[in-house]
Amino acid sequence: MNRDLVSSTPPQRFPRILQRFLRIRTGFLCLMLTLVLTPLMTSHQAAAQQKDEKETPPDPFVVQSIERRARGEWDLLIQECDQVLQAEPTKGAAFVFKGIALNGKGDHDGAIAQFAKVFEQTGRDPITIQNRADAYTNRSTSYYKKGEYLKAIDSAYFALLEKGNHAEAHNNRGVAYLARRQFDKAITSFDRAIGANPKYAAAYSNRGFAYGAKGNFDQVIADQNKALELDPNLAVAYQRRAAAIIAKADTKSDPQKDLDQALTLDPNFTEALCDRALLYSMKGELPRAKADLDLALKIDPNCAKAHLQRGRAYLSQKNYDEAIASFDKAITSKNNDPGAYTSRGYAHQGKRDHEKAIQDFTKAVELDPRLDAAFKGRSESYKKTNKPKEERADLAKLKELHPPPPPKTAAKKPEELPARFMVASKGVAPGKRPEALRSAKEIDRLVGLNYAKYNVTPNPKTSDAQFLRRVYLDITGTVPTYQQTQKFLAATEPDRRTRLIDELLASDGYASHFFNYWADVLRYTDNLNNSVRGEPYRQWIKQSLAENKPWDKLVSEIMTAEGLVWNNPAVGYFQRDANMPLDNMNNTVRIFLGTRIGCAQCHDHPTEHWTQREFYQMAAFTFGTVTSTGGHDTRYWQKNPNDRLHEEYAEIEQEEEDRRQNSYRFDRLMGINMMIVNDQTDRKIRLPKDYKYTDAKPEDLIEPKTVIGFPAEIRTGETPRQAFARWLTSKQNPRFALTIANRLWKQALGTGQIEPVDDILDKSAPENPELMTFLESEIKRLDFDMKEYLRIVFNTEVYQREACAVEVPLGEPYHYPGPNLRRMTAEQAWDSFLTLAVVDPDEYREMPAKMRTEVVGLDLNTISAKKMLDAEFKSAEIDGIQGKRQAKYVYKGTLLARASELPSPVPANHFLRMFGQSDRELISASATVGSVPQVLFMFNGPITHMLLEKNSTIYNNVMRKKSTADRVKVIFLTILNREPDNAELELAKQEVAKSDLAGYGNLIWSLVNTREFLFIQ
Amino acid sequence: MKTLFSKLGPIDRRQFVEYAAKSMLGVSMLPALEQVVTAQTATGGKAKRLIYLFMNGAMTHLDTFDLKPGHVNQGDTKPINTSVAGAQISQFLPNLASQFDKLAVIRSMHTQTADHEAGEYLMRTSYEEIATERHPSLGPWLQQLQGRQNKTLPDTVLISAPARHPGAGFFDPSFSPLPIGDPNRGLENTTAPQYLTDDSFEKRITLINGFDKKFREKFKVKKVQSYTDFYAEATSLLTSGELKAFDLNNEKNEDRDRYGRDSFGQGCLLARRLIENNVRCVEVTCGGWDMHSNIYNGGALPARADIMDRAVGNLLKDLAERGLLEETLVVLTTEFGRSPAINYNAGRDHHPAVFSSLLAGGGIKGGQFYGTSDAAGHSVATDGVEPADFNATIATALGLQRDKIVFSPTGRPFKVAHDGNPIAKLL
Repeated sequence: MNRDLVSSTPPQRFPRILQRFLRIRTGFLCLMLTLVLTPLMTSHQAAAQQKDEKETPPDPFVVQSIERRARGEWDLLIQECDQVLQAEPTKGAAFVFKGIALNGKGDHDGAIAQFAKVFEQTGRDPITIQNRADAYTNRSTSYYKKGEYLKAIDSAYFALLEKGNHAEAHNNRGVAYLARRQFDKAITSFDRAIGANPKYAAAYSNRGFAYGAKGNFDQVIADQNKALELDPNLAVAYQRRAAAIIAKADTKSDPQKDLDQALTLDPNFTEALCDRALLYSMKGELPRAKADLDLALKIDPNCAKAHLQRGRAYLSQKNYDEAIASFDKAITSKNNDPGAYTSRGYAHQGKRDHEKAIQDFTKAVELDPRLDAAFKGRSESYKKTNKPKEERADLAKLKELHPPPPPKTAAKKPEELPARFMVASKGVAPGKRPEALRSAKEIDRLVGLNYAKYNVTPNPKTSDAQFLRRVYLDITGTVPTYQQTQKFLAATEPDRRTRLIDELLASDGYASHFFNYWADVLRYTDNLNNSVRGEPYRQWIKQSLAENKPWDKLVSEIMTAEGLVWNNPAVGYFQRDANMPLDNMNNTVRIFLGTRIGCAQCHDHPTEHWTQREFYQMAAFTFGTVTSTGGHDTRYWQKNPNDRLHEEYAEIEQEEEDRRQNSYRFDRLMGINMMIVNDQTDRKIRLPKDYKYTDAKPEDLIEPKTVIGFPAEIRTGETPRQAFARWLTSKQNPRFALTIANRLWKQALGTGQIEPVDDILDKSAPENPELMTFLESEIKRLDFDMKEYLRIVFNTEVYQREACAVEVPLGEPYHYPGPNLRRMTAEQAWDSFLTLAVVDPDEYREMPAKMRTEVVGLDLNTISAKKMLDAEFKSAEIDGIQGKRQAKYVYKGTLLARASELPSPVPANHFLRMFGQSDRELISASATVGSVPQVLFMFNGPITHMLLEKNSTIYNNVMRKKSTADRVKVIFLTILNREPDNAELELAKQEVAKSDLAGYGNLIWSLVNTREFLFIQ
Repeated sequence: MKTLFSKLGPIDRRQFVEYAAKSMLGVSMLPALEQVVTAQTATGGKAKRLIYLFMNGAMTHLDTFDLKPGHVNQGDTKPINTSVAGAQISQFLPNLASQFDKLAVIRSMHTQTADHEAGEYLMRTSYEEIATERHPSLGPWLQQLQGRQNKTLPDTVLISAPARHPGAGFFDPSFSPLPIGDPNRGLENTTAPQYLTDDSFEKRITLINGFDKKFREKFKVKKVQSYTDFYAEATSLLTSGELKAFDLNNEKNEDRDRYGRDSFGQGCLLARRLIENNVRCVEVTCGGWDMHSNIYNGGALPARADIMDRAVGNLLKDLAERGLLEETLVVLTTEFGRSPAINYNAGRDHHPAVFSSLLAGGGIKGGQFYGTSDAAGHSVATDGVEPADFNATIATALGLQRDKIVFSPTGRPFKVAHDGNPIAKLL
């Protein structure tokens, strides 16, 4: 507001003194410091207003007390209260009025003691509640008068907890906020006061004052007008309206009339006298100004405002000694007024006493670090005392406070977007190609054996176009772009397919596509549980896939991970199943060993050999692994951080309401920092209470023991979990290599050698046992190098044959005449749409997890409660930062980013969910069946519309061509990655002939709605 | 599928389940259309359709259906008389009070969990949430046990449901309910761009079929054919009048106002329209019941109760006037109750030990309270009802076979209302 004032040109007829005043931060606040602490309603007065409480007649004591209070007859009131209390020692209203009277006499501590007696009455009847609310409200007045503004705010807050519509409590809270210069909160409080009592003149006036402090003088005037309409005798409203007129430098209105009126209503109104003095001095009527200031000081010899104003008048006359004397008095009357120190600084400067001037300016900027006038004054004094370094610092500060406006002609600098998380991808080794091709041949030989055995005719080899589309979808999860399609179809090298496979395995698309697969298997969610966010884990999975971390290593890291998710993101796996150790073991065996032992969690497995006891033996390996720790843990070498931080938290200066609201967030952040995966050696598993078999008794202790393959050996110094991880990922484990080899085979061919891939039974026979054995031996030979393994599979003839076009009866084994025909997964469909529509669909990436974890990750041994609370506030801003990037990539409410970059899970009505993406609650719960809403999405969804809009990728590709035939070809090559045949070209040409440009739109729309688009042949 | 099952022994059954799991890929839901089961149990079975209203956040029982006048716990809520002599409910529910003869109010619901998510899940599925299985909610159970009913519209529609709704659970994804986020917007993606005329829509469909001919001739397999069926369904939905069922603009403004212009009010109106168009199950969620502070003076409770009262009151009235209430079961429930003692912040906290729910229509005997809570509204006093019992009552009213075991793809056995017992007095 100060700057507004400086920049507005004062009317000529105001003398220069005004300009000087304004420059020395005579803000609006200095003009008007009077606040209205209003008369307060009391219990029966309020009760009488409620019609349904009619049966209670007004309490004569209360009626009389209200009158006494209005007349300020404090001693009488105290006397009467004491009399009433003698007869009725628990009468709450009497304590309230006695407190009010003591407040009136200035005995605020005595008042507080009276109010405390009201709080002892805990009843919930309306009168007791009203008494408590009134006592809290009046106690806020006591605290306010004592200068304890925070306590005043809290006391009003307690009143509002009793009665949410207590208008005076809202008003009192607002007034206390003003004292703390929290103007927005003050305005909200006055709004509520007015909401609770629309005839509350003082609340209007106070709200106007708060708006004035924010520089909105029109609102000051509007609110004072409203206040005066409700109460024409509210002197302070006249004074405030005048102050706003002066501050606005509004020459059309006359502030004098308002000030005169205020003083007529209240001749002892020192603020109004000071304001009128200012006005007189501006008009050059100095004797009158002096008279008003003299009168103000006669009424109140400690009127800081009058002293200050008088001092400034002396200062303008260069009467420095008198000025300093006045400022001294102003400072004595009102401590810590930065404006008074600044003015005194200038007075000292005028006397060339720069040491003292610097002292005063320094004190002023300590009190208000944005006080430009003080910096300016100090820089001048530094200059005069030859302190160039200090002078430069202050001038720099001034520049910082008043940055020059940006030149309008300069090009607007693009707003910087937050960082993106990018994976670093690693491809397959060129040198291993010959052995990969040899292995592919061996697979084809083994597949061929079953062709012969079962009399299967293999499908013909795919065309280049079919292969291209399929391999892009299988490795990168999207159809190729028009350019990629053209490039490959033009290639003539005999090994072009092998090269393409290598190229795609090295691309970032691999990590994106396989992340989608593993997120489905691992039930990845962005909130792994109530306390742990998943992004570090999510990005760790992506990076592990991109850099081709061997599968056994990846799983071993997951299974042995300890600590906090930002220190070791692999703990995300255990955090996902926090507090569900039995389910976790069930999931682990299913995901990594393709075996379901879950039935045995509650009873012996009905069809497999697992017993319930065996399940518990397996679960015993990881039962001691917990996902959080308590404050007593030895890692907290100092005091229990729970205790220490809570003690410190109680000491942080904040409002009670904030303290309560923030305490949840505070505890949560502390909890997040205690989500440490660790192993508790003394935590042992016992059989359930209802254990019903004879081989053990209920609640027997169970020792860890593996029940598949060879026994796991727990070495000295090792946790059972580490032993389990070694056993799990060992090449000797009979199902670890088998499971991953089978899973990846299915990813390429559409059907596993053993189905379902995560429900391998003792009696399960692979379709081709020799082939399965070979595949398993290959993944072992490759030391679980998944990209190398997939390279082999994609190089086989069987993968490169046409997709199977005949129905294989349910339950019949599939002998791989070619890959199975598959519908695109939800993610493949979504990502393919983006490829067609968005110029660079890979541009958007999620935010690096460390941007958040660097803020929320704290050292509980050393962090202070204040810093922790600040960290919590800062973490809330991170979402905003992420939103800033997202906003640039949103089309009709949809974030245009690869499926692997989107939240997990997405909402139920998202394209991905409609097309079968899992809600990530269960392992591998995605689906590829159709539905009507899916088709509606394809017909009319936002992405379909986007395809047809100017500047979509496909639009650009089409418009670059000139002839109809070329344009049709581009459409086919972009959507189906093949050229149209003659009949299709003819049909397309007819359509374009009929509909012209719109015809191309119809072609695009129709082609994305073909089954050919949605299925991977 | 049903008949096939009963012939299979336990081992074969497991194999069949595996086949079924495999066949999840690409089996159209159309064949199930013909199987409409008429099996009925001795009582109940009058209801053909279900409207399930969920008060999300936990509805306070003391301020709605289970008042304790005179008790210190009651707070500011006053009782009012209803259309049934001697029966009183909250002053905030005048519409429901005037139709109390239609309502059966259970005042003795109880559960173990005070966690919203766990409570919602249990109430909707009758099972506790576990990490290894997803249980189906009631609508998909209806479709599972009685076959699909509506050829063009989905059998279950969820209005304003939370994303974590269990939906079809382990059933075939084709059983998935259709989610509607905003009832005012209805079914999304049904409006073609303005430049597209009806004529050009048909032309486009012809183009699709022309370009797709070769592919479909080559791949004559079920998963492709079923997609072609869905395209046909979607096309007929878009061109049929049934789409209008989703469009509230077809309602008169005064009727929309009557239900309340909030999302629950409009959701209930949409539910009525869908039921009229033979959708079998509609669930509408009403959020905002998790009131921990300042419930009376802050106005949150009266406002929320008013939203519920207007919407449900008008829904019942309309269904009755249209003669639909006899065969439409209306259920109103919540995940748990709220603490009888008013807390320091003038609110009520989570309280699973006793709470209230409501049944109406569908052959339910109205005008009665069932079960009681103790004088403080704290615990069950008589005739405790657990979520599974509540769902068993719903299932019985709908004529569902409660003892019918359906195996999940993991081979575990499940029943529509777990092991709950229906409340005979209400049926």
